[in-house]
Amino acid sequence: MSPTPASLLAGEEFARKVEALAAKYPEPRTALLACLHLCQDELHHVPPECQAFIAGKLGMTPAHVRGVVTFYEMYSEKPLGKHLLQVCKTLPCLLAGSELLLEHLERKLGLKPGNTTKDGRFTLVAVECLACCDGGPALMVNDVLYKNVSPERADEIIKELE
Amino acid sequence: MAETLKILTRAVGVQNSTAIDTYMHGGGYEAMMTALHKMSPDQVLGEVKASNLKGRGGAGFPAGLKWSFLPKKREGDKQEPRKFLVCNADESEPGTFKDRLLIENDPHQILEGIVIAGWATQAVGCFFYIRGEMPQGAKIFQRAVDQAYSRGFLGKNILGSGLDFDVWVCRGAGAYICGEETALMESLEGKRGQPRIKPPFPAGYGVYGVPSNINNVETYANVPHIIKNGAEWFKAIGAPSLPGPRLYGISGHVNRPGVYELPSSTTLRELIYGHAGGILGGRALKAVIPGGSSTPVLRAGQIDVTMDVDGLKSVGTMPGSGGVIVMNETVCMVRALHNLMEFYAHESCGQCTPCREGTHWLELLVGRIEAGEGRPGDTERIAEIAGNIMGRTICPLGDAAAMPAESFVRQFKDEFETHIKEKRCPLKAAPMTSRI
Repeated sequence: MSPTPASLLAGEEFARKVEALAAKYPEPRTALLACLHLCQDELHHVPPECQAFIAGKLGMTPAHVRGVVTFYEMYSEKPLGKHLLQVCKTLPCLLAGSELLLEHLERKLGLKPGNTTKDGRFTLVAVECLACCDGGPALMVNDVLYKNVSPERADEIIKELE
Repeated sequence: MAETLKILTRAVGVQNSTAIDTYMHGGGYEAMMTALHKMSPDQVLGEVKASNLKGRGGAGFPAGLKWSFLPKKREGDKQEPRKFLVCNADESEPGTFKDRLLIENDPHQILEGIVIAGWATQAVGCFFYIRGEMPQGAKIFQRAVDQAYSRGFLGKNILGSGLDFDVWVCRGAGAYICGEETALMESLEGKRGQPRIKPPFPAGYGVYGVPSNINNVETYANVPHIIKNGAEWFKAIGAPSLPGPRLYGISGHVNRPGVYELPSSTTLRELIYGHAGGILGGRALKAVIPGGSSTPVLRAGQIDVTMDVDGLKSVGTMPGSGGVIVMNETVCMVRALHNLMEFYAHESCGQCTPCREGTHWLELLVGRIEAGEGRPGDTERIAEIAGNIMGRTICPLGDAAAMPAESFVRQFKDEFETHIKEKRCPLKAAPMTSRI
């Protein structure tokens, strides 16, 4: 079962990981982005209680942490789907046909970019350059980057996730 | 046609190329040993300065000169002043994907360059800031760092040289602006990535306010080769205004997109029609962005120039990050510019008014022209807004948005005016060439 904010903060493991990250760098504040990634990966979002928890561990105010969460594209305050589908929409991928890929995924999932399926399984987003311009259209699914993704290939990738 | 070089990219395609043993089997870390055992920090610095290695991130500032700006131990000082290095692996300039290749295929080459730079500058360590969307690259690099520690190539008293040097891998979280050096340093301090006003420059006030030197991934990767083969060898490669091997990433409408390691004396035509196999779909070439999306765009007739500083300057543009974006005749230049303006408007950090407001106005203006709602005078308006951003912001993101805007409307004015006059996109009816 996937963790909830409450269960994540109740367990010792998350606290241990945050403390380990705080000790990894010359100053604990450098660990903030890594701690937020940790939370985002576990919960698919970074809720206020986790922001406050991390703030406390790193000696920051919750307001500062919220400012950081809202600045960076990879953190979300509202829960994202289990699988995050990111279609690169910037020029080199556009020239390779990224619009066809995005339209296909919109139809397949019944979603507009920026939204999550009702069952919470998929979030579809159109993102800026993924630094994979020779492999456009590029599609990133969670941590994995796929190159030259045709609509048919996208169907296969999604099938493999299920 | 110039042969591709196998200096920075020699590990590409080699089995198990990211392992330290593979790297050392091919002579890896020998340059570091030479530097630490046989050369003084000043000798290393002198060699890099003499090589005229220019920064590969986009600005092209001489690396050795940059290193020399860091404070040094003065007479009477007990120890070296505390200093940091930073490796900028936040590769996010549209059209640029060369650092990814180096990180994923040959992390030790970068690491060796970083340790040599650490010796030359007597820094205490290096932050390796890799963009958040490259989790695999971060893992590969962290593994390389762990291997280097286990061999005594990082940590206390490296190989008995007296150098204590650490490397910390840090991930970004999806903000193009963090590729700007001071925004990156803010991000390393656990803050929003908003650039700092300069001066003070990073060499005086960097990470945590400590003097810091920042270079791009490819810049550090060149260092071991300079130490191993000498500044003269390095300077003999390519044109004098951009010496050494250079990674050119080519994307868009070519038959063989990819990263090509070439001397800067190679022409854009050789890269496009030779190495990259010509234009996709057998179509005619229309436009080329030569060095990442912020560099001024060229027309098809302007590609008989070498890809060094002087060659590209002769046609009003610059080498930038080496990311070449090729567009064939099926591309609408208004639409292409609109895509780039969306990018910059989205990535502007919002700190400076000319950039925060200007990028959005550019996006809106170009968007309405593409939608058939352009008004007479819009091209002049675009040039005017671009001119009002240029040079008026804390960091170069504003300039990076203004340069494509200004150059697209100048180079392809007829196409913009036709959109406005006919109140439609003349290219919309026919589909643009696609790869899928």
